[in-house]
Amino acid sequence: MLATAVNAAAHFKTATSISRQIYVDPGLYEAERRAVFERTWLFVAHLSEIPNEGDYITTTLADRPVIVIRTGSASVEILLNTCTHRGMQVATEARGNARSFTCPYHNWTFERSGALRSRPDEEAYGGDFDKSCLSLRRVPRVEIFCELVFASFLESIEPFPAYLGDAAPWIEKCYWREGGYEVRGYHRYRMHTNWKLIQENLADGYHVRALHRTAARGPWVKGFLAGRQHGFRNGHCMLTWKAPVQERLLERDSPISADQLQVMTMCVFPNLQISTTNNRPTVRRIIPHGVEYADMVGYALVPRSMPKKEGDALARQYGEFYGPAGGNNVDDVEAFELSFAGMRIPEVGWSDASRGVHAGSEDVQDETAVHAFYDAWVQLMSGVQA
Amino acid sequence: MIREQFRQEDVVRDASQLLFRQARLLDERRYGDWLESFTQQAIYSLVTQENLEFAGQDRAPVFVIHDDRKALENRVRMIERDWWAARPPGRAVHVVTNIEVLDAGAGEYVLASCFCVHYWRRDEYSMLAGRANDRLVPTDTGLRTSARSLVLAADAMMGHLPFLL
Repeated sequence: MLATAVNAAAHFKTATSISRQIYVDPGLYEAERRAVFERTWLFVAHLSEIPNEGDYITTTLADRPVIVIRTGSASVEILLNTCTHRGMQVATEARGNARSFTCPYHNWTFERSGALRSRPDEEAYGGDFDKSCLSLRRVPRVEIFCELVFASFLESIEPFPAYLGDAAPWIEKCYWREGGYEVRGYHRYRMHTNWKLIQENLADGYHVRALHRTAARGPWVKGFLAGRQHGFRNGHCMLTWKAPVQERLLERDSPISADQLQVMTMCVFPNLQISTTNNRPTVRRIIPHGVEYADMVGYALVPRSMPKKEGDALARQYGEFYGPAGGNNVDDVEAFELSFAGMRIPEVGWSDASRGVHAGSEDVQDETAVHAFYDAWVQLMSGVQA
Repeated sequence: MIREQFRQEDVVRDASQLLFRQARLLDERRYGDWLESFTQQAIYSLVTQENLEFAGQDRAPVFVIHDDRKALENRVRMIERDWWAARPPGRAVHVVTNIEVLDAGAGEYVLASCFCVHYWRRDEYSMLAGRANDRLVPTDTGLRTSARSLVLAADAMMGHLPFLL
């Protein structure tokens, strides 16, 4: 099955047709993990989740259990969460603060850095044992950009912000604010769909008026339709539009600041979404779970500069727009799941993604930006060895 | 003493009846009637245990739902009319158990209970369980809910939530 993956370009009949196999073929999932998720920068955590030295969270990265731990004021290490002795996870809590990790199984104890500190009955081992070989393994590359923690298994990957290319200034303009953000909570939900269908949605302005009937009645739509879309090198893609403060989606929204008018929804290839719409900046992480499930972790962000009362109100109201019961999101999830069900019908092999492509249009409703996503995907998949 | 005990039993019975009735109205998708059993100032919220603990005592947690009456009416409108995700609507069984009256002070009852919502839609089944805290106030037309606060045991849920708990 990996042979299909090597010939990834064959999944694109023309520039505008996408093979539906790429969403449903279980063999491609294995190939994707190796070719895409082990060779790109993966968003793994927000720095405010681990504010102090020794703070850690446990999560997964390319299907591996990992520990994301703060090791200094601006340094983060990512340890593979498996004891080098017999494989058990050494960190079992979702989050905490640790000087060291002691494996519950045989009590091997590791430093924050991953180094093996001690093990019971050391004298029972032969003296010529090299302890340094028994350190917890680390993910080789970690970078922090706008408090977003990225990790890569590829030692030679290009650094930040070069990896973001022309997407970086948009993140700084639309998302970043002085003082940064604090994660106040999470929305976690699992969808019965392939992860790529979720990412496509971020660069799909075409569905907005059709699918989101409640939102589409709002006065914000005018500004949205005047927006643009952009595809970037390395697969990042985005929609951006002007959302005047007086044109809010929900009546009770209060503007975060009057100058934050240019908003965006951006897919940072492969697993991060940054969205600043509806006065609620958020980042979301997509965790593929086999070919047919994907977990979403939504991070409810509150600007540090925001007074407590407004910050509390923003945290409380996050779910109105984002999350499993959010006004627009409910229908997006419906579309992800029903599209996926449709992709499994073998008689219909190709999806059309051609709106505006003939003219090279950047209109917000056209389907040009998503091709940047798939250009990167094809390039990476073509490099995988069967 | 005996009178006090009777009163307590009346409170438990009346309060339980309201919770059971609301559960049945949601099962029958009679959202308008369900809304009628809430006061005009009512707050309806759903939060995960994870987010409650994450927020601690001093700060507001991140909710899945935090609706005042107007937002709740809007949610009902989306369920009944706007959301594709509610077409066809799912079939739900709202189970209410473990009802305790925590406080029956002046003009308000505070209830603790457990909920378990079984939800089928198309080929998918999901189940959401947790604890509920309800505040009920007596009105001319019987007890009404002034606040319903649901705490979900699970950190994550399956898919979306185009229904009410």
